[in-house]
Amino acid sequence: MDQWLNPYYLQIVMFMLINAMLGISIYFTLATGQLSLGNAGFMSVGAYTSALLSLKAGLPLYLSIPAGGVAACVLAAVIGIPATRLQGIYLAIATLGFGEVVRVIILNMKVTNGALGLSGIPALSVQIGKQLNSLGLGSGLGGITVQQLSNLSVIGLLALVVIFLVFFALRLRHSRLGRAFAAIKDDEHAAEVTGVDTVRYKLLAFFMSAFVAGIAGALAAHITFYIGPKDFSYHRAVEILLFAVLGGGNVIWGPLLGAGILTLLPELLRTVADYREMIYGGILVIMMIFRPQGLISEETLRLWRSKLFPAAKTEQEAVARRSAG
Amino acid sequence: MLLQQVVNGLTLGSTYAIIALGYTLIFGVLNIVNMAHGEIFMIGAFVGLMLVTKLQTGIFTALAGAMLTGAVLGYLLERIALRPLRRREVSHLAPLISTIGVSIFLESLALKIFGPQAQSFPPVFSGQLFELGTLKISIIQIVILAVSFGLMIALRFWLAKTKMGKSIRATAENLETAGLLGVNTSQVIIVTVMLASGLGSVAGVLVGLAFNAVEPTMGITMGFKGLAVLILGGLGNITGAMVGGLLLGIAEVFSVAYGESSYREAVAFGLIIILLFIRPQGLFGSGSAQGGR
Amino acid sequence: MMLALKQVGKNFGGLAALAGISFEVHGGEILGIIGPNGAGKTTLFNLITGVMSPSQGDIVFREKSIVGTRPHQITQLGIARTFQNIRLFGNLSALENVMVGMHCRTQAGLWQGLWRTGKQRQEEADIREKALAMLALTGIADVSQALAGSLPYGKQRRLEIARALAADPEIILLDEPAAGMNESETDDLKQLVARIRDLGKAVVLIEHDIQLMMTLCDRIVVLNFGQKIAEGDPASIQANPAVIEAYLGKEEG
Repeated sequence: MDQWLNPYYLQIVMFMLINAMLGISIYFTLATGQLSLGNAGFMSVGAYTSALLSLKAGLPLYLSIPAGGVAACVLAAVIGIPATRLQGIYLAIATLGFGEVVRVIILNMKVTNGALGLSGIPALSVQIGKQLNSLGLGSGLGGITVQQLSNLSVIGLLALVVIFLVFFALRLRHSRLGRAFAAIKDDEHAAEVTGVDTVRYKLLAFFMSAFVAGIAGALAAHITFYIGPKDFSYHRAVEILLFAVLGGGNVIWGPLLGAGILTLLPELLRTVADYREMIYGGILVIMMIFRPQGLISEETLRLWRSKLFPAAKTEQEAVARRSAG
Repeated sequence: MLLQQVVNGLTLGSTYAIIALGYTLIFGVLNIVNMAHGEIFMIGAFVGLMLVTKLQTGIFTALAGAMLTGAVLGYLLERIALRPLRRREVSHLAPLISTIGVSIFLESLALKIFGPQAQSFPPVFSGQLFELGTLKISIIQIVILAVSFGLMIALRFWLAKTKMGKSIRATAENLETAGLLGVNTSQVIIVTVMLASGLGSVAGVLVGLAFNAVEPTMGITMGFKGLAVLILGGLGNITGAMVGGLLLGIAEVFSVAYGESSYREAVAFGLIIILLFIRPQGLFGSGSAQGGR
Repeated sequence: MMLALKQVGKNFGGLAALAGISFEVHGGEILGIIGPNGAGKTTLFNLITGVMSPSQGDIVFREKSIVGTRPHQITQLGIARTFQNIRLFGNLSALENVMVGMHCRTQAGLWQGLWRTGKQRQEEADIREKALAMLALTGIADVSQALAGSLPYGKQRRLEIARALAADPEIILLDEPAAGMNESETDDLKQLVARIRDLGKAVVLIEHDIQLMMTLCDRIVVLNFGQKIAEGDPASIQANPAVIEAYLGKEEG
């Protein structure tokens, strides 16, 4: 048991879940056909907001972390209102530029401690450990130390967030708003003329994406205890994009798979870790040439569904179940 | 003093203009933002540096070598990351993503080969200063101004007068029509990408000289500035890229001289974000409404 | 009178694509718009649906000017359209396409969609039922689950009409709905247009097939070089010398 619960493994699982959230955040903008490269920027806003609120103002984490998400959302409003009028390439560049502006500001502000970054950020696991202690679990539970127990609790918490987000995304897809999103993605102009307020929904998707990225950033700050401007550079933006590109940006499972693979691979394979950026670059090009829809697409899902439920009778029933369940 | 700042700004701005020209040429013809342009620029800077330090060549040989390398990289970029995507119906974001891939590939390749630290040109090149009253101009500045304005004028002339230049402009106007009119569009595309990349590499050497520092991460910072100029001037607009580049250079120099120098890197995108509020089509772009057909 | 165009004009970079266009659309009529290629017919639709703003003049729908109103708001007010080159949501099923058409007539938001509140489920069921009814009306109920992009051409045209009808418009603008259809498909379309009129909706129709227009339309407006050269019932249009000249006198206008 101890072998499996060592802090290193537990940390990898935590990063995987954080990356899954980031993957979901880019999925939300992709769901309306927008490519936003500002998620690293939103993540940094969430991370710094929550870290500073807890570090300097002594705010408890259950307040500071949501505050990080809200702060990212507020910034998304500033950038989003002009940006969602923009299409395709303009938006990608504007959001990329936004991330860069945020990074430079963080680099230069006193309160963010510039290039050195913030350290000693209150740890989520310590906070949970204290709670466990007060519950009388100070000596652990059934051979699991309290430290392991609190790490497991953190993982449980992160997993809950991810599960909720997936649930949210699935429900969204088969609701009135989700159909509007999908319509905008397919043909924005036709969606507008069909009666969909495209600007409003693009903005909504942009906000949701920023909020999730902000929350993910805030959680990450309280898991690593240290954040610096380098953590949120262009490379982070590209990495987040890669989750969706590799896994597939059309279905919620795609970015999850992408985040999983890309978190594990560098840990499992030394060569991957050494040539990480080169491999990432190669993957982006290769995916665009051979499988632009990513590993998992809607077609893949349909195929699996028919294999897993061969008795799935007519397609009509399968679709009816998909939209009902 | 004001005039000094303007000259410094123009020097810097002329290199930005050359970088932005590369972006805008490719965008004009292919409707693609080549995110790898910054890295081709950076490789150009290293090639120039290597020629000067390892082979003791003169500065103009270094510029020519960089241009050649850039053109070769442009050829490879087009064959590997752009052409395969043109063959089939893919999202218009696909080339953006594949060139992002090339950009981080080249950056980390440069990191592996050259190491992360900044390298500088030998002191011979730091050059002497000419003083005109209170105005000081270094020989490097003169080289930069001469080369970049020379390239801009040559490019304008080439696009306006030569057969290939005209084909490029026709293709930029409308790829399909140009094809129907007998323009070999796939040749035009490859020439455009090679030309843009060659220009980018030259700009790399010039910027390396201007800052006297060449490092793998310069591709990202400078690439971002080129993108800023691209938006500032309007996508695909050649005059816009030239004027936008000069404006950005001057704005940056002034923000350092009269404001907070550490925010210099944010000036470019600060400008864009403001501009996007006011004129989303760029300073020189023309608005286009999307019709029903 | 439901819709009135008053001296409407549109310039593109100095060139007048439309100038001084005035006509009215009445409830429950089929109004045809004909004219040679480049006469400005689609531009007219773009102006009415808010895709473009007129350079001059005013467009009035139910006593209120709709100039400057965004396209989705105009759809909500009661004017829906189809496109000359079909623009469906290709990755959505036919049924979902029609369901999107009902977007502006329904309410459920993020929260209700997430928790599937009773109200939301009721609304979804309604949407589904009405969307299926639209598919039945346009005669494509059998393909409700197929992806719109995979449908044959004729069915895509019908699906676009179903999607536009789903917004429950008072006026529906059809931009060359018979383009590329064979004779029997065109006959079916004719019946469909008549059925839509019988629902009490006004239909404004752009079509090149003069024969079809003459038999189907109650009134016809003729455009040439961005100007209205005639308006009236089919018989008077056929006899109008200006129309004859526009179509026969000069090659392709």
